[in-house]
Amino acid sequence: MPSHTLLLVDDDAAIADALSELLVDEGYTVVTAANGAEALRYLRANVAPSLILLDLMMPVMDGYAFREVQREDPALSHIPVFILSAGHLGDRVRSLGVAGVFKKPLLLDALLAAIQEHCAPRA
Amino acid sequence: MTIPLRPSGIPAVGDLPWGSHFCQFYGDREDLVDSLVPYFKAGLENNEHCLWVTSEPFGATDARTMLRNAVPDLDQRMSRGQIEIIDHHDWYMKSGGKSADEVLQGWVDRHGRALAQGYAGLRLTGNTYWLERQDWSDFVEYEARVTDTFKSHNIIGLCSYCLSRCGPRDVLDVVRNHQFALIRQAGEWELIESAPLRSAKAELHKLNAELEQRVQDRTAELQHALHMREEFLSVASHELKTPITSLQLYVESLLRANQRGTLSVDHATPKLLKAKEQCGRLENLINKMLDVSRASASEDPLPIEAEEVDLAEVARSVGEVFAEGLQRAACELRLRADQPAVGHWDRMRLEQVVTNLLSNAIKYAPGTVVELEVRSSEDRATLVVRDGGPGIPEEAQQRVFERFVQLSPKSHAGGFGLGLWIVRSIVDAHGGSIKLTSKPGQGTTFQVELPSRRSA
Repeated sequence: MPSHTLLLVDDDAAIADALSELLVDEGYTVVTAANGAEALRYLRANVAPSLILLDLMMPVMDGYAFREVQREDPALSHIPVFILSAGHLGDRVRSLGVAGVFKKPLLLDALLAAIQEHCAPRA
Repeated sequence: MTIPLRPSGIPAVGDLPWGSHFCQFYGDREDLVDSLVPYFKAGLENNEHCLWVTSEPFGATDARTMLRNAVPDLDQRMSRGQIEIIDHHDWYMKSGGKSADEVLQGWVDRHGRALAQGYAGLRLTGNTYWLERQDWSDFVEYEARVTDTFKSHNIIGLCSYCLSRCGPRDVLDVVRNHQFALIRQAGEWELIESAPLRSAKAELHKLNAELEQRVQDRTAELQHALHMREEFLSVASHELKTPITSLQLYVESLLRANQRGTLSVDHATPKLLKAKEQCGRLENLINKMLDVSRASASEDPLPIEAEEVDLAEVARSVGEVFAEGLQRAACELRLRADQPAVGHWDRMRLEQVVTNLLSNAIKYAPGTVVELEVRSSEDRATLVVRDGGPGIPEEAQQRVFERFVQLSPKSHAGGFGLGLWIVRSIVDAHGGSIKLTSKPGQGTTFQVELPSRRSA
């Protein structure tokens, strides 16, 4: 059984590195992108991942802009998204219509449980 | 604070503060009816105690009839004692022969009784028809004192002068001794202000406008400061949480591997090294914040620990540290710092200057050539950092040296917006100067001049 692929979109190299190593240890396949534009390039060229873990404040294309494009694109809009952000989580974040919102620093148990739940149907 | 105003009842005059002392020049009975009836109507309707000494050719009986037309419950008000209408003949009998002091004290006493009875103040009109020429100079002096007396009381006084009985000099005297004068020209009441009042009003206008401007400026400054503070707090919290997040993830990952029993030295060492790196990142951020709060807590410049330093050597060593960062940002560093540039400076602070200017270039001008140059002359050294980035628009060039300013916070370039502010603080503390030249699309050049030795 192939493992679930998670797309991790974060401009901070250390966070991307640490979180992807940790998720790999948990049995997931992790692909990273440094901003929204890179993430879109990946999504349009590859099989859809099970889940997108999305940072908000990123250069080039931030999480809000990425989400806008993703929701408009019927090929991508079905992929569930978790927001992982160190910023203020206000109304603007709620308006993104995502499957989960997690504050940095991350409560890892909660995040891992939610990821597992979202990937469960195929498992 | 606003000064409470009383309606005068006379459209040409509008509202008046307590203490007003003005006069009118009348031609005939019509002029008196037209001004005094609305004047007293306004006083009665605003709970003022009123005293009307009538003037020829407008006697007391006539005045009562005209006022009753305007104020239907006049008789009740008269029997309550809110208004007294006295014929000038009777008034002359009562007050003639009294000294100016006694007359003035009379007004003050009457004012006191009015307040004691619950009225807001005293509104009165005097008349001068009875005045004989030989008394005129005394009366002019009396009028001058009335203005001073009324000033400190809830009194409004209107003095009626018969124009046909005043010579040109008299008119000047009267106008000078009242705050303003009313005169009917072509059927309309017109206001003539005395010179002191006019200049006082103009001054007041000017002061008000200045005050208004200052309030606006100050409010804008505060709003700006508040906005900067909010922006800073949000950026600072984001910046601090980012290394904490990665640090925590490395630690969590080790703990989980330990729980699974898969923790090995090979597995653990790189993670520990990375965790240590994040600690350093956090420490840098915190130091920057401390620098800022220390510098903003006092007016003093940053403390400088001066020693013999070669700025060229500092530039070369910082350039080396940046090799990896420059490579990552696809920047090519052109270093021109071969000749020593020695001065009496704080080495750590100068490293910070070069570091901040270089990291700015990497952040805002990735993929371009970054030049780092050190020159020296007899009594100073020059440090130049030039990038080939998008440049800084002219209107923003002063702002970049302010605290917490990031020209494009929406681009999430990272950092506190403190780098250039710290650079300038350090340069200032060394008695040097920093210059920015930039044009949109043509890169940015920072040029720092440092005196080799600080003049005391």
